Amino acid sequence: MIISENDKDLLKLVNISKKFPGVRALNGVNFNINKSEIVSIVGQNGAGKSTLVNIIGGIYQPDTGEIYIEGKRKRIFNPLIAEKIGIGMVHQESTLVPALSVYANLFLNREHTKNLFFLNFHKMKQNTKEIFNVLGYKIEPNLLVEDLSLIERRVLEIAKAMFFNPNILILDEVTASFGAKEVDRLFGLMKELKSKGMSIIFISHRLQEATKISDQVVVLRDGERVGDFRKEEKFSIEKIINLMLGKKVKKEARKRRKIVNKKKKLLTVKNLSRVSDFNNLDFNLHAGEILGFAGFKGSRITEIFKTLYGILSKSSGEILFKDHPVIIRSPKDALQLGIGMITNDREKEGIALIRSLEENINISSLDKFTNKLFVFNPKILVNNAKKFIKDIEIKTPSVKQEVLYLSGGNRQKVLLAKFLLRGLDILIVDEPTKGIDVKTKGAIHDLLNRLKFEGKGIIITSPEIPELLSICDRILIVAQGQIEKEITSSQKDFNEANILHSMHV
Amino acid sequence: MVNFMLFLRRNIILIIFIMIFIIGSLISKAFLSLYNLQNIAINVSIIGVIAIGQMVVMLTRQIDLSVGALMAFCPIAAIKITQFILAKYGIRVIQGANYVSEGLEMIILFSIIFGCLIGYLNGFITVKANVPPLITTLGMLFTLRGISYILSGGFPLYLTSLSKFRWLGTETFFNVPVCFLLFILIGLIGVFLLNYTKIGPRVYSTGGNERAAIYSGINVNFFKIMVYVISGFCASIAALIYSSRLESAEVAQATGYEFISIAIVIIGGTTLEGGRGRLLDTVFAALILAIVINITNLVGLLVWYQNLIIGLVIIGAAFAYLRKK
Repeated sequence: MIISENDKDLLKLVNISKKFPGVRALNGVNFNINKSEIVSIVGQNGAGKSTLVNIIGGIYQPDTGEIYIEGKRKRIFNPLIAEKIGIGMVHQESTLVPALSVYANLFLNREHTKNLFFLNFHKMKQNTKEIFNVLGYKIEPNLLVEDLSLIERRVLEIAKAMFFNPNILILDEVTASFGAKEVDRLFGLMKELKSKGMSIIFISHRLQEATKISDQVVVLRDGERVGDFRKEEKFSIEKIINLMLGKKVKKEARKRRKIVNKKKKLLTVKNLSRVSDFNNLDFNLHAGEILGFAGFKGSRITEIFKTLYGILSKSSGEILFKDHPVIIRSPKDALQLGIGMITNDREKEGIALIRSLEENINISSLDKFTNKLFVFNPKILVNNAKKFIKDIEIKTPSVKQEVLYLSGGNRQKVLLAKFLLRGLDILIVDEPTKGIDVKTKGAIHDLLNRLKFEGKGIIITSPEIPELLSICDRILIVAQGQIEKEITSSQKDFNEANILHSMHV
Repeated sequence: MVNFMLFLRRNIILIIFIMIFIIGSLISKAFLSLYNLQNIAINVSIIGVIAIGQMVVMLTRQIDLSVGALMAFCPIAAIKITQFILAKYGIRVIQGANYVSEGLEMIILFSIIFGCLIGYLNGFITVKANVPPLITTLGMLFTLRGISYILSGGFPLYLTSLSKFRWLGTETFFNVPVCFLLFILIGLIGVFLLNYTKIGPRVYSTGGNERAAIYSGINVNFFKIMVYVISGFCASIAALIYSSRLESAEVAQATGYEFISIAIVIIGGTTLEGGRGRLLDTVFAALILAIVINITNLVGLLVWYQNLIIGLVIIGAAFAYLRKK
C-alpha cells in the first residue's frame, strides 16, 4: 500500500465509545498514530486496551465515534476488511489451530492453490520459509502448532499478522511469555519495521518494555484516555503508574507486621520446577505468616499454587512440610498433610453450586465424622455447618440452602468454612476476594488473620496490591514463573509504589 | 530408530489393522475364504460410509446422532414419494402387500436427496438456532423414526420385485463387492478433499479453533452446516447398500448404527473435541471393527459378546490416543 506523504494521521480514532452488557468499556476515546511510529497503550486490567485495538482490528464495532485512515472515514466491519485496509493484528488469545501445521496456519484462508482447487503445498512451505527468514526466526513449516513452544507460537502469529505487509501492526500482549532475549529480538524487528515505515501499536503490562520501544505512551483508565507521554519528554514510569491507577500511590511504608512463629518453617520449597510453567523456585512459609505472591498474567502464580496442592505435577524439586520431605501427587495427599487450597474459580473448582451449604461445608471432613461402617450422624453434620454459619457470619436462611443462591462473598466463606472444619496447617488462596463486595472482603481478611494468629501458614495472591499489603507479612514478586524479588513488611519499600515499580520492570 | 517409533505411533491404527487381520486368519480357517472376506467387505461398506460422514461432523466439534434413523427414513420416504409421484402417471409403485415393483431410479435419487436435506436441516437448526448438536440430532433421531413409522404403516417394504435394486448390495467386480468399492471411493474422495483442497483447513480450523477461523474470515457457519449435509448424504448411501442387501426397507433398520459410526470414529482417533484426526484412520478403524465383529461370529460368540468386545475396543482406543495433560 502506498502511503501519502502529507501529514494527515495514518490512523485516527475520534470519540470512540463501546458498551458491553453491564459495563462501559470505552468512553469517548481519541487515538491517532502516524507513519513510522510506535505507540504503546497501557492501563490496568479492564481499562479498555484490548477493546480499543479490537475495534481497530474489526472485531468489534464502536457504538459512537469514527475511524479515519489517512483522513478518509472507514468502517471496519470485520478482520478481513481491516486486513485489506492494511491493519495486521496479533490478538491476546491464540488464533492458531493446534492440530494444523505451521504453514497451514500461516496460510489459513489464503492458501496457495494449483488450478483453483488443489492446495499447493510446495509453494506454501517455500513461502513460509521466506517469511520467517524476513522475520529473522527459523520455524520448520511442517511442524504442528501444538508441538511449538509458546514463543514460537507467538512468532507465528506475528508472521500471520504481517502477511499482507500491513501499514499498521497491532501487538496485544505479545510478550507475556517472552524472556529478555526474546523481547530484545522482537524489539529489533519492530525497530526495523518502523524504519521501513510501519506503525506499531504495542500493548503490554510491562512498562519498562513499553517505554523502551515506544515513541509515545497512551494511558487508559476505566475506558477513558487519561493521558499520554512522549519519548522526547523522557518517560517516567512512576507518573505513568499514577495515571494508570488514578490516585496518588502511597509511598509511606505500611504498619509493620509480625510473623507469629518465625522459627517454625511450615513449608520449604526447593528448586521446584514444572516444565514450561515455572523454574527453580525457592521459598519458605513460616508458622503464623501470610505470604503474598504478586505478579501479572503470565507469571504462573496459579500454576505454582496448584502444584503445591497436587492439582498439577512438578517435574523436579523438593517440597518439605514441617522439615519433612513430602510427595504431593493429588489434593488428597495435600489435605492429608494439612494443606488446603481455594482456587480463583470457585464456581468451577471450589463449591458444588447445586448442593447445600451443609454438604459443601462438610465435604472435606467426612472421614472425621463417619464411623467404621461409613455411617455418619446427620445431626453432627448439620451442627458443623450451623457452627460456622454463626461463627463467620454466612448469610443464609438455612443450612439446607443451595450454595447457588448465595452471594460471591458468602460462597467464599463457605469454602473457608470447609477448610476450617477440617483443620489445616497451611491454606493456599488464589484471589481470596475475587468478585466480593467491600464489607465481605474485610470479613475474609479477618478470617485469614485469625488463622495466622492461630499459628497457621497462609499463601495468597491477588491482583490488588493494596490487599496484599494489608494482610501479608512478606510479598514475593513473580514474573514468568521466577521469583524476582522478596519484600518483607519490615522493609521500607513495602508499599504500593515500590511493588508496582518492581513488577513493571 | 526414533523416526521409526514416531511412524509407529502416528500410524498405530494401520498396525492394529494388520494385527487383527493376522489374528483372524489364525483363529479360523474360514476367515480367509472368499465368501467370508466378501462378507466383511459388505459389512464394512455400510458402517464405514456412515463413519466417514460422522468423522467429518466430529471434526467440527459437532455430532450426528440421527444417522441410524436417517438410514431407515431415506429409503422409506423415497419409496413413498416415488409412489405418490408415479401414481399421477398411473404407475403403481407398490403392489400387493408392500412389494415395491417400480421406480428404481426415482427411489435412489430421492433417497439421496432426503439424506442431504435432513442433513441440511440438522445443520441449520444447530447453527442458526444455536441448539447443541447433541440435542438437535437426538430430536431428529426420534422424529425420523416416528415419521418412518407413519409413512410405512409399520410394515416393511419389500424390494424383491425390484430386480435391479439388488445390484448394489450383491454384485461383485472381480470378486470384490461393488459396495465395498463404493466405500473405498467415498473414502478416497474424502481424504482428497480434506487433505489436498481448501476444504480441509477450513473444516479443521472450524473445529480446532473456531475463533481463529472466524478471525481469518472463514465462514464457519457454512462449514458447520455442510458437514451435516455430508453426513446425511453418507447415511443415504449406506441406507441404499443396506436395503439393497436385505432387499427391504423397514422402520427399525439400522437401529443403533449412529453409535457404531461414533465408535468407529473414536477408534480412528478423532474425538469430540474436534479439529484433529485423519480420515484414513477412520477407514481403517471401520475395517478393524468389521473384522472384529466377523471374528466373533466365526468363533460362535453371541451378539452380547460382540457388544462387549466393541466396548473394550473403544476404551482401548481412548487409551491409545492418551495425550499428556
